[in-house]
Amino acid sequence: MKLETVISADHRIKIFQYLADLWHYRDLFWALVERDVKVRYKQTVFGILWVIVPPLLLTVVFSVIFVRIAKMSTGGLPPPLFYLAALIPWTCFSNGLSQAAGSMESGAGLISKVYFPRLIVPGAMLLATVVDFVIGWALFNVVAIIWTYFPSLLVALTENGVTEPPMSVFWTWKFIPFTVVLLSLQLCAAMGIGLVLAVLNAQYRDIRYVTPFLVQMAFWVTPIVVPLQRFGETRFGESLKFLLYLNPMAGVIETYRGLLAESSYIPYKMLAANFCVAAAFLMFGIWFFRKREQRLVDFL
Amino acid sequence: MSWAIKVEHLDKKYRRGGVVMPSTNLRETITHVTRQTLTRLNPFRRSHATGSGRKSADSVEFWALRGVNLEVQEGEILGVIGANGAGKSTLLKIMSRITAPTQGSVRYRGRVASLLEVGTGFHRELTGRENIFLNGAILGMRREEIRRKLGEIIAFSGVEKFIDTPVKFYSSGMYLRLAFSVAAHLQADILLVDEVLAVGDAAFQEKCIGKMRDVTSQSGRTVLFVSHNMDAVHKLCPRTILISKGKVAFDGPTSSAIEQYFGSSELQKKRSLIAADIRSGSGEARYVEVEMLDGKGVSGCEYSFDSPIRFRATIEFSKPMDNPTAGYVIFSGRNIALVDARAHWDGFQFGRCEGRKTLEVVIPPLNFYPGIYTVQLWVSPSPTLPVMDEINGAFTFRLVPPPHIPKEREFFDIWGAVHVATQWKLLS
Repeated sequence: MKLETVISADHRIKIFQYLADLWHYRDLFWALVERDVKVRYKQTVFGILWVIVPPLLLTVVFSVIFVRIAKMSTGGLPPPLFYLAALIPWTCFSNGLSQAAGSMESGAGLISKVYFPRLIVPGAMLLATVVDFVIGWALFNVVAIIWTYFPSLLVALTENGVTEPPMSVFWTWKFIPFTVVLLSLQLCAAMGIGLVLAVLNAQYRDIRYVTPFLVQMAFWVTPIVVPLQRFGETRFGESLKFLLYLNPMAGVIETYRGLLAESSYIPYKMLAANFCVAAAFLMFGIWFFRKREQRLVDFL
Repeated sequence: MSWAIKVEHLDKKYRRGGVVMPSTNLRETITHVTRQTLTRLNPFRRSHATGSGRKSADSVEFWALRGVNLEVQEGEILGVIGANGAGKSTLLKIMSRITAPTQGSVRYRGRVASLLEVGTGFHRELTGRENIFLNGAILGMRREEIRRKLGEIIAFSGVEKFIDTPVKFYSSGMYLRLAFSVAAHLQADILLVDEVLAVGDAAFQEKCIGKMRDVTSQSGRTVLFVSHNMDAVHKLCPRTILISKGKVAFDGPTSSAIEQYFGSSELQKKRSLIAADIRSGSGEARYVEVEMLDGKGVSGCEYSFDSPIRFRATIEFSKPMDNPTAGYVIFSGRNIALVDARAHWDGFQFGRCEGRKTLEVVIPPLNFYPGIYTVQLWVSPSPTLPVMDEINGAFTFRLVPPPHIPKEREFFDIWGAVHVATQWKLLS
């Protein structure tokens, strides 16, 4: 007896059917990831360099403007490492989030012609940004290792006044397990928010204009440029710090920076709070997406 | 024999806003929701007050499908025909799970594959080989399955030499061949096909029809074939349903269905083109209505092939423009473009156009063989700029032999395509 499928006006496909579908279409998921990765830097001269050049340039600009000119503290870390530790995860997060948010619109050609669990499209886009992250992250590790074990190579930088002379050991093996944990934390958050925006964007193209603005705002309320301690020093310090507990990227960046510091400080409380928030985002995102998924195509 | 597809009381409601103008305005929703909440909170509201806001929303809703019932047996090839916007594509979209029905259900037994377009998801920057894997995955094939059939797919497409070249360098014919080859090798118990043969050259079309027929008769696969191409429907499908205004208007032998399609009021002389689904273009001007004139037969869309064909098409310009141009293309039942007429080629000047304009077109006697011909309409801001509107299958007409040709004369397409009234003389 052949498998019988029923399509009805019922809003939602039963959860087991849905999981079975996701499993059945796992090859499509990988095919889309592969496409996104392959296509991204085709017909560009610098190719993969586009992953590492922007955060590197931003790091230089931030080091000069915020550290040299504005005299902002970097909590005892060399400015390049301080900024790279934040910019690389942030770039992956913001790219992943924006792409996931636009995924129903950019994938409309597929969505309006073929059935598959729609969750695959934003999921694959997000995973494709991880490839960029891994490359950027390798660069970061190389810089940290140089700083730690071959400080003599940095003499030129020091003499030009870009940074202080190196002081202590920065790179630890702990980076490897923590990166896995922190990456999954930021992916959960990006997926959760991205799914909600994606569904809304299918119906209201206003979201297309909201997303970049939202990402820009989030950049400033995340301790990327301004170190976490400075958030606490203002008049509303305590309430601002509480808001950072709700911002998953705050914990991610603080942990990377904490690991770099000599004391290997890890903000466990903040991370725990961030994990709960990211999980809540993800669950809400999936719930919201599943609720609207079947009707999406009527608006695209 | 048992059924493979069973459709019961299927309804689909669309909001017109969601079809004509895809992006609904967030501001409107916010105002609507706010107003509704305020009315609900208002302790002095009268009982019918909440309904007033909804009333206007209901009037833009329409039923794309209404109470469709259908049963397809295992191994059967069912044709689906109907005018542009009658609901064929909606039916297929529901059956292939792209959109959900408003009411009713579809049940099927076995693995379903839908082919609403060939080459869905093809990426211009990827090579032919990479696209086979991508497109195969999109159609629901397993990676292993594609790898196994890769050689066969490439051979069928006939683009072996360029298989590792990005498809953006392909000609449109090569692109289609490759795309169709992937689809033709799709293993499924039920195959839903929409208009995929509307493109591509005649020889390849024949090959595809042949391939589809082989596949079906060998493996007992059930096929639902939606097309404007009456010739293809006639060749492939023993049974056909005619969809009209969201309902199944006829269900039976294909020749009767086609007869019905041309004989009934299905093809009204005057048709609205607002809901036409196979259209493209910028939308700065749109065809809104077309009317056939001087035809004979019940529907007025039947002409004897030696008489001129007249039609009127109304175009709505959303902004004033100077000297746009328009044209039509007549396609044969085999989907070969036969006539390409452009207003500016014939020295016709539109002048300044704004609002609604009705264009009258007189086509001199075509003398094509009896059969069914489909017309594509387009309008463009100037002869060189991209179209503002282009509708495939905007209307269809049938040519019949004129009365003076004896009944025993048969018109077979293997012998010819055009009737030429020739002068004959015996000299000795």
